[in-house]
Amino acid sequence: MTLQRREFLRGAAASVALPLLPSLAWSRGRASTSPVRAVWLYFPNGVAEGSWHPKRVGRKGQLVKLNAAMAPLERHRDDLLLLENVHMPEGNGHGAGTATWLTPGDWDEQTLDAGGASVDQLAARAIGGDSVVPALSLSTPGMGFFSSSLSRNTMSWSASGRPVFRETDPRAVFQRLFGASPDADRSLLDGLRAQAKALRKGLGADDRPKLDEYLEAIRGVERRIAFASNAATARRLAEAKELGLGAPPAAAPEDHKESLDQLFDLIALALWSGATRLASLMLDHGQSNRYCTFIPGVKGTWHALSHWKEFDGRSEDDDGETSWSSRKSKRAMYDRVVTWHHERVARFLDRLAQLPEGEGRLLDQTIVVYGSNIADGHDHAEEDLPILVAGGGGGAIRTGRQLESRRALNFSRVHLATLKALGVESERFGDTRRPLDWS
Amino acid sequence: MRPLPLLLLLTATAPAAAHPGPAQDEAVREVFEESCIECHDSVLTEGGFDLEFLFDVERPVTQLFAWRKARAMVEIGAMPPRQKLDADARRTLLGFFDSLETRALAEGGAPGYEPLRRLTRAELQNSLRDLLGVHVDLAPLLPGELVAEGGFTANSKTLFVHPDWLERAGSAVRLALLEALPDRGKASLRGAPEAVLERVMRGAYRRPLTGAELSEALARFAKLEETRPRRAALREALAAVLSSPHFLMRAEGTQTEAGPISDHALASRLSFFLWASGPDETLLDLADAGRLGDARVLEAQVARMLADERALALGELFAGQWLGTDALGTLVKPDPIDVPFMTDSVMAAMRAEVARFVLELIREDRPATALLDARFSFVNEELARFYGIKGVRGDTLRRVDTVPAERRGLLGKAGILATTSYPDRTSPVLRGNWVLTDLLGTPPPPPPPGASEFDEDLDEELEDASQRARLELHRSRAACASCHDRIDPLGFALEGFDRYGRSRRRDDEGNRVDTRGKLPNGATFRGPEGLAKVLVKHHMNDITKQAARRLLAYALARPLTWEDERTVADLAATLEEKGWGALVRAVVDSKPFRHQEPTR
Repeated sequence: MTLQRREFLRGAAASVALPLLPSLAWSRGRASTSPVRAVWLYFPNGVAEGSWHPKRVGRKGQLVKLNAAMAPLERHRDDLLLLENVHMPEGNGHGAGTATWLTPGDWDEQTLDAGGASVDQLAARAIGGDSVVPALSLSTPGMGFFSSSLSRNTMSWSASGRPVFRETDPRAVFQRLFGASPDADRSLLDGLRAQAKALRKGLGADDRPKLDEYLEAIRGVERRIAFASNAATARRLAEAKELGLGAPPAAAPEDHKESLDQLFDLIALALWSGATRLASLMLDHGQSNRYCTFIPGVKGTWHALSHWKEFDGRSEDDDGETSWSSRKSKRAMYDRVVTWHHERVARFLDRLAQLPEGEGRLLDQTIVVYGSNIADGHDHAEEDLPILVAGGGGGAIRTGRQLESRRALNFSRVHLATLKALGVESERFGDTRRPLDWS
Repeated sequence: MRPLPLLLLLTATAPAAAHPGPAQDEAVREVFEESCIECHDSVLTEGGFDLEFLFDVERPVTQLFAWRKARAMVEIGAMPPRQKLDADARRTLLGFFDSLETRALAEGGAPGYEPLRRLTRAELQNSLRDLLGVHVDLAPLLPGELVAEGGFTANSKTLFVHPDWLERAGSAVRLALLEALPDRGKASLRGAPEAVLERVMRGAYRRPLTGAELSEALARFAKLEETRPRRAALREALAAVLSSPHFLMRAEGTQTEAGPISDHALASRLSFFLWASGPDETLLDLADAGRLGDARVLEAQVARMLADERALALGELFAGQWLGTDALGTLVKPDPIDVPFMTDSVMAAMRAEVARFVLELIREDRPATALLDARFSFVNEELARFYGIKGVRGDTLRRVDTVPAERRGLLGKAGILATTSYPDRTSPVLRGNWVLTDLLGTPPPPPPPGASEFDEDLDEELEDASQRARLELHRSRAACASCHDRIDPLGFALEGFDRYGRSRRRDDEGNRVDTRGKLPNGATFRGPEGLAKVLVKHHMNDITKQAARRLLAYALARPLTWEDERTVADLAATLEEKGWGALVRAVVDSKPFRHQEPTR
């Protein structure tokens, strides 16, 4: 099995066994000015009402003390911009709200239409062309019901009806980014490419994109090989290793915490090394039924906990085995689960703050959008969604404060502002023409 | 012969005259505007039902499925809410809905378009097994398919070719090749390398090879052999074949014009339908000779394929996904410590039982009703013990001719009873819903807003009451009753089985189980046998339609549209008149299976 495992990992990087091509964008070297990066971090099942908004805010909106449930993020207070009254006007249920979290539209299960391309994919199309991976899309392996539901596992769309696959295995991600095979067979690559192109010619416009994806896979491996054999990449990887950011261990992650931390580390490494400028991670799928018993003092599944007002364990969201003594104790567990995830994000922000970039930190050049598609999970509440932004966005964002908003703030305005900060020219995102002013 | 008058000619050849839609028919329009539009205009669009849009659609029949949802609500009286339609208005609406059904049968029948798709994980695994003679479990290597609600994994609408998937498929291929052609030891692929290469390549591409394709592959092998041992060279050459879009994608059926599909496309459709794998040499030979489309040849091939053990895929993938039992042991998984008898092996046997049972109905050409009352089944020792059947030994499932009466047909199968329970108790609601939705294809509408609050009140009122008493109180509310009067009694009939599917006399609360039920139409029954009789007597029409719909969608690997309703009606009639084997043959003979619209 060791041999097989090794063969698989090698294969995962270069199964189509592709050669080194000299003519690639990455051989041009890294741009001299540091580009802005963006990261979207999604968590499911919302936050209990009252467990998100800061405890104390100064007169000009400056963050003085965060909510107790947000304690892990307290150390990054000065790098946070908390948003108020964010909503998704097209609706936000577990399935629909996940599928449309990053899109401007509403969800149609029949046509798999989430209302257009998602913000990360729009950005990837505009600025991702030179990257090894135009946009990194990650998630964690699902647990329990809805683990194979398309809408709950998809938040990136390259176009309406075209969901983007999410990688969950940290080792496969590392291989994909950095582990190109040196002994590639060029004729094989050319042969496959020719076959796909010939096949594509005979197809109609709807079917052609399927072959385009095949061709893209071949190009992706080429880019990877060029990137991996680039001296600048090797230097950055060596530096990163010094800072404790290396390849994930060969063994599968031991538990969920390690799995998430490894994925976060990979995002940091990918952004810093220039493998990509864009990444998104679903901390869990849109109706996570994961047993959160690995968190001290918590029992039951995440989704069941989010319905914290029913505690007798007999509602349909429960597993039937678990019950709670009171609303209060169940809510405390719900909070604890959310806080535990904040801790993972805080650790990721530590990484971004630790990595030097230009004159400052990688965090200063990054926009991290973090939040959920649901407000209070018990009511599937739609108003005032828990959303925050972290990082300086290359100087675009003034952080350390709460951005007051009396009226409902369409989440699309955040996406439009992110596109703008990334340098993507876009007049509108869906119907929204006004980017959020976060300066 | 006298020339036909021009007018007659026109009506004979022109597409069917415009159907007066809801907007044109005064009476229909009036009812909708009076009772529905307030909430269902294009601004509010409650429940995703947009009447203004539906009014504007040029051919109302194209929105048949949306109208059917509306019909279900009107029929049970859930819509309009807080207001009862008078008899005239109700008749007007139902008449309009009926006219749509008639239209669909008259105007539908276009063969439909199967978008280009990749192989599923199961199809890739089976193809590698058949081409290379090795079993490789792909579950750890490739992510499972994400599915849209109610869809099968093999659905061209949800099978996307992600670059990552393609690379991982490539890894899987290499792993399988390493098993088939190890550096040392016995290889499962025998013969001269050139012959092996040609044989695998033809099977992989599922069509005749062009001279150039073959000579290129052979040249690549010869070149590889210069620098490495023979087996390694053959592995590399085969890796190229099995990473090709011609293998990983179902491109063999692509057409540029509408019309009958080619013999090779037919061979593929057949084998993916019945085996979830590519065609074997017999099918390819017949297709090469242009004989597969011949009715007798085709019928003989279907019979051969169904008898082959590869047909088990039809039971596992089609029946398992249709009836929901594929969730058992993966999504539905009791704690092994608390429930020691629900072992992985017994759950596998439960899944396999349903798969083998449905396949056997097909193989033996049983009548439609056998789905509900067949006396045979398939059990191994562990499952037999579960059912109280004596004299079955060993782990292998084997056929028994007579099961206890309550185990006859689908309603007594543990796999179904366990997947339609909560982890801590049985649920007449879930089981009743399964009967209506999966078996009859007449799903009840979703609960109205506020339904869960009522549940909370119930919990406080009736702490130790039996399920039946709780549900009866629940149904005393008019808003709940309209649906639950139909749902719950079906589930009561199955209360003689616990949440794992074991027979029981007492329910979870310790009360004697009461398996009597009564439907709104007055039909009464007791226990699974009684329910089966009622379903056979009154609902075979729904069941045959549902079976036809599910099987056709599975065979075509795409969601059905209103155009397919005509085929569905024909297939359902075949099932009702001639049985399960005839249904499969009729699917293979149907226009959507044998024809294709051009690539789009």
